[in-house]
Amino acid sequence: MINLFLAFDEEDGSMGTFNQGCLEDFETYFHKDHPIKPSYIRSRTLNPVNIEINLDRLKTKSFIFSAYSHGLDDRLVIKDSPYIDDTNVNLFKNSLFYTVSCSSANILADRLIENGCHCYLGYKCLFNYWDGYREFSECANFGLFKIFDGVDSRGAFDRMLEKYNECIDRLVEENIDGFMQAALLRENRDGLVHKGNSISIKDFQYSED
Amino acid sequence: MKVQVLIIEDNLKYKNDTLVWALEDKFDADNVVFEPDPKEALDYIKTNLDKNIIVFLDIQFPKGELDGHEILAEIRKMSELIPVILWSGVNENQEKFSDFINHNAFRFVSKTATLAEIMPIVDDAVSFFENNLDNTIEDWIIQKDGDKDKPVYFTGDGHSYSLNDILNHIRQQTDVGKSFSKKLNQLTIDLLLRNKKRLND
Repeated sequence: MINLFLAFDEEDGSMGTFNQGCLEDFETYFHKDHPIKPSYIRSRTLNPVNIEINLDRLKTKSFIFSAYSHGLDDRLVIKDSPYIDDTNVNLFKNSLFYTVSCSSANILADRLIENGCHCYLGYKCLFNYWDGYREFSECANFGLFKIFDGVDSRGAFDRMLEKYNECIDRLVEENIDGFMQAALLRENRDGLVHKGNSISIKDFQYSED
Repeated sequence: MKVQVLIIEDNLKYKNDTLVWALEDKFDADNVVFEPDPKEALDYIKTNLDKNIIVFLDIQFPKGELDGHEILAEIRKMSELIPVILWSGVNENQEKFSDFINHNAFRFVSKTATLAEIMPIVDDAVSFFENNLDNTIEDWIIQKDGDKDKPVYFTGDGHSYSLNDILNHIRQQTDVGKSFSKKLNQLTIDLLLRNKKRLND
């Protein structure tokens, strides 16, 4: 078994459609017969209190936390209010923190690592998305899917870079209209950051005794 | 590439100037517009922003009319991507050029200049359309079908942009507008460095 939390701000006015699409990809991946049962945290319950309730009960157990929402250098936010920041980074001890949010690699990542988070995978730049191009969500989700497949986090990071390149090249070569979207994917790719230790899914597995 | 020329000049004698004939010869008479009224000229630009227009702009206009400084400022409110060639008989040593520079006038040409001096400048203006990445993005957006007011580009800091928003930002050369050509340049460099494209392909 694995403690897995997937947070999505699917109701956001700008990135909501993107986040919803990613949520659906994960729901498809974790079909009802999948051995891993994630806990989904959606917009209406994405707040510091619910974060604390969900994570506090784990005590010292390791877990994977993924967040698709807006972000700033030192926090993740929903409707401009922080739900992960300096005040609760300690809750993420023993976690793998995976996020598609802007800029959180710049400061929040280091705070998480300093407070015992094993590994952070996220972005140091503004995250871009162009409507109607699945390449953005494919690349954003790819690393976490690779981790679930057993690739370690550093390997997943490298595979994400390859995925981004594959999508960039495909857009440029096959789609006369795709150069703008390729340029935005390139920017997302170059903003991707891995911090902390390289860990793998087996580090999070436990058996219920 | 289709180019139009707009000559904003209140003195109608210049309608038969050799420059005008040369421009009509180069771009076809249908694509050369002579407009003595500054307000009409600005309206013309406003309704033809989707075209590649080179503007020849006189500096002095009758009292009570907009002068060349003001006309250029008004053009720049609409777009930074229109090459405006100042075409004037004023003594350039006496004219105040600082605001023309600040509003990105393309060149200054004296009314006494020869065609041999002026036409290379016109060619430069055409090259500007052909080689400027912002103009390329502008053309790409103009040619796209579909609803250009629907948000399509989203950034993780909460901003969303329709194609028309992007077009306006590019024409105004805001930080957002300038960022698009920067992103495309970075993509080109990335593709070259990853050996995906060769320079002369």
